[in-house]
Amino acid sequence: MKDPYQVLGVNPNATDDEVKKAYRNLAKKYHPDTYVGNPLADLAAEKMKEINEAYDTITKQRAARNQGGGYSTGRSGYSAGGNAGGDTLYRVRELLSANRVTEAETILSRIPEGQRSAEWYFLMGHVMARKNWLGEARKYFEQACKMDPYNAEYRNTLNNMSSHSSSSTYTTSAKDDDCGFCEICTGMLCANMLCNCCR
Amino acid sequence: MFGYIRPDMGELKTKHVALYRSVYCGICRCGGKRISPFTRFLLNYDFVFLAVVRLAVTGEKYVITPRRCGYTLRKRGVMEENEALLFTSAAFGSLCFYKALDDIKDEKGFKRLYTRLSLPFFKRMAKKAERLYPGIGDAVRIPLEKLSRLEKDGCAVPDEAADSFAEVTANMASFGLEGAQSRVARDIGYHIGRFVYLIDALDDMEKDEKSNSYNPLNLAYSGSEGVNKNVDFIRRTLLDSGAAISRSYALADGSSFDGIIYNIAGYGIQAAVDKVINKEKK
Repeated sequence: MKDPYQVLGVNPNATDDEVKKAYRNLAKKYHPDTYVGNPLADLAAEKMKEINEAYDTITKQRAARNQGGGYSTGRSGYSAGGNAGGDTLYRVRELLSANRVTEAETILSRIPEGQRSAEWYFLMGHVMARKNWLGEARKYFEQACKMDPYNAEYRNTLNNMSSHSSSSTYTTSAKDDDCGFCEICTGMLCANMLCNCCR
Repeated sequence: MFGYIRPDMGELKTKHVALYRSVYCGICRCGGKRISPFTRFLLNYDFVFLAVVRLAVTGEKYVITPRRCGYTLRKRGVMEENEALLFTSAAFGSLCFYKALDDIKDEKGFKRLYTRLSLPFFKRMAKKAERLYPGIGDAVRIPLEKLSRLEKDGCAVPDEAADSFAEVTANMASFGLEGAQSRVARDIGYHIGRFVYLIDALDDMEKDEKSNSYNPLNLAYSGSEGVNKNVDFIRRTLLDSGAAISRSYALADGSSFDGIIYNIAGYGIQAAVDKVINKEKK
């Protein structure tokens, strides 16, 4: 087994807070939600497992060292959620989690156009995402969100398509947003200065 | 067709700029010596990215030496020949040959004659590549033939057409690798190809419409006017490929190339897309 401190990328002398911070950053980076529909989802799950185990080992070791009773990680663990629809769509979800994409696509395409629900579009989007056909996947996810705008699962998956790894310093908002918090703060500071000048 | 995948230099740290340039100079030197002097003139940024990805994913050790070359008087850091650089040069040689064969079939007039005349040089490059990496030719040829068939049949699903070209870059990125390394490199390679194919189609849509040539976006959106109406969606799906590269690489990061790869996947790709959409000169 790998050194748990190496897995979390922290020094063995790091404080509990530093360990927790490193764990949270890595958990965010490899969270299953970020890799929903991604062909490398299983690798991300392995990484997540490794990080969880490393964090558990460190917290247990430290709790034993401190002889503090009633140890608890207080972590609920991460898992990819999903609610089942009809029998056929439930079967499609099972096939997708077993990575049997072609079979899932065949079953979905057999469902006639009039009977296609928001979940159908969502699952078809997953099939396309697994094939890496991101343009088609986006079309299906957008249609699913249009048909069921309050479904958090559909909305999150659509949003995750354009999310970068949390290690990346790149954020679209930095360039795209015309009115970020910085602009608001700068605006308020300028207004304050003007008010002071008018006194 | 190539040269869209490059970093946003303004956002890159100085040490990363030097490292990126050393890879570029390294491929130029290695390809010129081991494959053909023509690789020096034809080399493009997409292949530099491919080399960077292979160096990062495999964790191969590298050496950078200050050297002079014919293009610069000042000494520059050049990466010494290693497995990733040699493979990238070989893959580039192979792709040049099969792409030239394809162009001869599709192009007309002067361009066709020009490609036909340069074909023996490309053939030599491909032969050398095959000798160094047996099987590299098939990894490029088979998906390119599939793409050629799809283009002839007038495939109107951009993702389907891009899939075949992406298969070429995915095969190249993961060639000879195993396990998780191969899967991560393959996924990144796939999205390099998908992005390059689709952005090239977007860049050439008006030219292709005039010459009545195949363009998947013109077919999917009924002409360049339709493409312009849907440009926001196309922009988003191109940026999705950058996000996919970033997420895939996160599974193998921790090398000195992290800054370069995340920069290209984010800022670099966005800059390339906006340049094409705003029709700025390259």
